[in-house]
Amino acid sequence: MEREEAKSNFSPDDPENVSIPESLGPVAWEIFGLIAHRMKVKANPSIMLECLQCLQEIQKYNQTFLINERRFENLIFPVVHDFFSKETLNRVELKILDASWSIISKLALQNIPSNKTFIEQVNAFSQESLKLLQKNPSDETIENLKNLINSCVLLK
Amino acid sequence: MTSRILIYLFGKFQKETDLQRLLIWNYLVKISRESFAQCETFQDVMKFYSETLIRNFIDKLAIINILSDHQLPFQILRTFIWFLDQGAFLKYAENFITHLNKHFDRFYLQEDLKTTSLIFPLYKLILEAISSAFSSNQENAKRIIANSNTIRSILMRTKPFILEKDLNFSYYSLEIFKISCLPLSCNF
Repeated sequence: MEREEAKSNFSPDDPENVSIPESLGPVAWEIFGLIAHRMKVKANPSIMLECLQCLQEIQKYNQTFLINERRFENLIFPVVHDFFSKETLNRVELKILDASWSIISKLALQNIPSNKTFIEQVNAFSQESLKLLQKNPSDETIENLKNLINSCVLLK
Repeated sequence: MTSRILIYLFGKFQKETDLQRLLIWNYLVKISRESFAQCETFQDVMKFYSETLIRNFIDKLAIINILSDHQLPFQILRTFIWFLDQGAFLKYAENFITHLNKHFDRFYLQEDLKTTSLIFPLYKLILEAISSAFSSNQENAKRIIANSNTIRSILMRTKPFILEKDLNFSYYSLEIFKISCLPLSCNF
């Protein structure tokens, strides 16, 4: 799959970066690697949430960015999946789970051509997430999140 | 004279406690009522005076080099951007950001992270102003994006701080990127 910025005069080798257009695709391309790297630091869940919110914002205005080069599939999803191998959820972790499923649900709506392993992993993650949510006292946010997870049927 | 008083009050506002801020706010309202017959509120004064103040600030930014207290001017600027009229600000935003970037580079190269950290909230406020102007479809905001590398110049300075151990730097860098997504998405 070609990257979207290949259409412009974009050059990552440009030392002054003067020819890189000031638009979301190329700029997000430059920053995405750092965000993905930062997310690996599990000790700071609030920063992880910030990172996911940045990705949500990119997805909002550039729907194909996370699909291209399997960015979400290869670099983000494994980190998120690994982060939730735990027994309980606090407030920030709940927000992280919500942001993650919000991104996945939009990917699912786009009917992305994903490999079988990724679909299996997402299905396993949905089961784990629902199990985790059942351990928390039910409220409106949790019910909405459960509905969101169940609605990602396109990936199943 | 009025602009000098306003700048002084902006500086005090950032440093004081909530109660003193309230007093300063009352002074600002009093100045607006007594100095300008045509202005009923302080917001009216800002609309009337913002252009002059921004031009003054752009000039004064250059003298930060010779001030012993590097932090105060940035604190004043922060309050100023809170209060100013966005329309007037966007007119001078490019020039303003260029000057601010120069100071960012200088303090960064001197490894003065304490002062550098004061510029992050300023960048955030500036991008919020540009982004909200985009939401209300202002032509000035579109011109800034179309003709310059303004937003990118900020992002390229803040992006290394995403990996910074100090969470404050990391938080601001990510916030700044998040806010700039909307204006960047409008430029193709």
